[in-house]
Amino acid sequence: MLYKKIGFFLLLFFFLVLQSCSDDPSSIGAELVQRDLPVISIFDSDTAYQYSGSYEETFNLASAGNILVGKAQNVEAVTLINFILNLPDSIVTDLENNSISLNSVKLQLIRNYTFGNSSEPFDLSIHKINSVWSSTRFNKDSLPVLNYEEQNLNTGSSILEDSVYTFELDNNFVFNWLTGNADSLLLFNGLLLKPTAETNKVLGFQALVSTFINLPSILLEFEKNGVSDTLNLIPLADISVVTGTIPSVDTESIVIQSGLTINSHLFFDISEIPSDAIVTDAQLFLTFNPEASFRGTDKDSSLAVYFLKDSTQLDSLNQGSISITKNGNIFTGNIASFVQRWVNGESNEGVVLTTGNLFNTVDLFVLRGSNAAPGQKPKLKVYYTIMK
Amino acid sequence: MKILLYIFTAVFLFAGDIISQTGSVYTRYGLGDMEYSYSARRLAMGNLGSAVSDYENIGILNPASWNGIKRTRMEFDLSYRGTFLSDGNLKKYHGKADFNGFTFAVPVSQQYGITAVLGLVPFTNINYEISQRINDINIGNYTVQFTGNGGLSKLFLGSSYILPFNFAVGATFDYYFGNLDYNTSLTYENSQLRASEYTRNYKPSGIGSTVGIISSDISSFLGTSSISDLKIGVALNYIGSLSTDTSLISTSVVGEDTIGTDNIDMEIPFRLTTGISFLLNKKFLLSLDYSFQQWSNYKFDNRKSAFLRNSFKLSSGFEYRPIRELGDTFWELFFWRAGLSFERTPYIVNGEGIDEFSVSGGFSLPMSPGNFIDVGIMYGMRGLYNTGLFKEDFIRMNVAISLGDIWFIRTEK
Repeated sequence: MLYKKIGFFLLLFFFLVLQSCSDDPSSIGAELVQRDLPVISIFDSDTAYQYSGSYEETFNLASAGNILVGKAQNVEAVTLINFILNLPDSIVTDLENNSISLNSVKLQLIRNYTFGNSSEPFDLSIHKINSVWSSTRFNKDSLPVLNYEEQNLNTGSSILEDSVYTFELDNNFVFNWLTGNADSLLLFNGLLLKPTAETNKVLGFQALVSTFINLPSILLEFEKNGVSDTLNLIPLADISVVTGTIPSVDTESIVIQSGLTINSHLFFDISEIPSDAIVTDAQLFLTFNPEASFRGTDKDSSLAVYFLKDSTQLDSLNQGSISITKNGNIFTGNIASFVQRWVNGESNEGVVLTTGNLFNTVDLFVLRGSNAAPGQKPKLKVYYTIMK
Repeated sequence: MKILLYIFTAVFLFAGDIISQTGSVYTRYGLGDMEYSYSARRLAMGNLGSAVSDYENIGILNPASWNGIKRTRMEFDLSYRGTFLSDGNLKKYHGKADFNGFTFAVPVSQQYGITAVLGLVPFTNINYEISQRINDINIGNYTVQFTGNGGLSKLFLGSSYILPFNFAVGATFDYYFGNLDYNTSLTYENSQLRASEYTRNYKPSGIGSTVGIISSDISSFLGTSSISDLKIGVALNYIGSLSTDTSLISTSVVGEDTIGTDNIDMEIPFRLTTGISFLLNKKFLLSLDYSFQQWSNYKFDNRKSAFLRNSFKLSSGFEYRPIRELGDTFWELFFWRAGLSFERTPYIVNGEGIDEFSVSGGFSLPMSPGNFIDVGIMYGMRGLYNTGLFKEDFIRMNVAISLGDIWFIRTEK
């Protein structure tokens, strides 16, 4: 009996606790804690030192979604592409017995991107590559030592239907090579695609990526005893190389270009922000010069901002970039996390600006740099809080 | 008995899991609200009682009060505090439940009144949460949340002793430690803006002592038989300086960063409590107490606080203990208590001192010889409607289990 009553009181306490819901916190008594209220302050780079400059960087474009070929503005792009051969045994036997003929060899590419006026001429010269190459290691520095046949395998009979480009190759050359190399796993050591002298645009074609849609292909049409047989070769590897020079711009401008690749380094002196500040917002403003810029058909018009770890090594970028987008002629983005890291004590080496689509295009962005007039040069506006 | 312990443990664990949300923003100042006595019994009697020697209760205000404890005792206490806040326009209610500590007493020598006591009890309490909406012309609307929680706790070990002429004395060695957190967080209506948060944390620790004395029965001087057991008690709680590790931590978009650390001294003024108690007709216990602490001398990093003043508390308590007889009904077993108190709290805000009035009541239910459930309820009010100030009506309820058993008792030879 007694224990029941004891339990009753404990349950009563339990019940009271459970039932006692608290209202949401209110502002009652807020005046008493104003000394704990942080102050919101503003940093404006207009009154601080800043620096900007452009530089060329060499990248391997193996992971690109486009292979680039052509020349326009300040760039020229070539592509190396390797195809898997792996002929059926019957065709190998027929080639060895000289009982089969090769009627045509066609290279088919699907266009994704155009840089330059679409009405400008475009054609390729196609060459047999002799030296062994690797798409993961090949870059513009490798190009001068590439061994390839001078003979142009492109017969000049190109067909363009919508975005499908078909190039007719010298089938005799290919047939003679196949006769001696029927059991080869690859077609030559690949093909080198180069723009002709008349070409005045750069095209981007679907590259070998994780998706198998619209890949480059080589169509071999064999004939034996009047019966045709078509073999479709798929690519094993591809790589584009873009060469060129940083375009001449005035001293008030900086340049960013994908593919080549040209990046820009930007630095703000934010030492005015106290080390105990919490950054709420850090808007970066970059003025775009549309007249000096040149863009292709790629829809992505964003830029990327990277945290730079060491300004003496401009490739020391931290993984993870912040995207900044264009509104009118101004690119804006919030780089609060970068500024907070500098405030917290990481060395302020500035940021690196790149295009948002670093490898798939050769788009050229010209921005106003740190030497431009106030109101046009890059601007960083930071809102931060500090405790009193 | 085991079942009770299990139930109480479950309640304690559950209560411990309950989010301690809000209380009084006055606790932002100094070390917060003082916990004069953690027990339900003392709460019901005005919260002091420096001259009361309770043989079935472990009081922590005056260690001399342990001189009559005859059984090994263990006490656990749970408390609930509900606060109604009002600034004249807005009204809010906040509730909080908490485990309120435990004490353990072992009688060593009844002849000399030696009882060793160990305990872990709250000493101060900080608990508030405020939400304020602000408009900034540059960044728009944002909400600031101010929260404070924590407090000082006291771990003590002490003993009582009966001197010649039946004066009882007691002393404890106290270790004070705590965690005081003051947090400010800002969230913005503009989702592009990053939230920010600052936390000031203080970790004080240090030693102190509590000493006390309770006189012998001086009721014979009054020459009346209806008043007995008249005693005077004095207790001094000395803390001195607590070494305090401080830190200021910011939480931003990139994570936590400790932006400042230090070690400073926190000087807490001593507390002096004095009072009298007596029995009326052997059934009614009355007590009257006065406690004083010079909070104007409180120093944090050698700086006094402009928000603290000297404080005192005046309280009176009443207890009715029926004389047990065979055939008593359930309700006749209860001990009943009541109390009144007035406190000049240490807080000064906007030049106004904050005073507190409270009434209390409670009871003890004996479960078996030496074992009780104690309940104490206090209703109080403090503060005033004034610019920047507010009133608090609060209700506080303590439930305690007081267990006594015959352990470690040596037969006197």
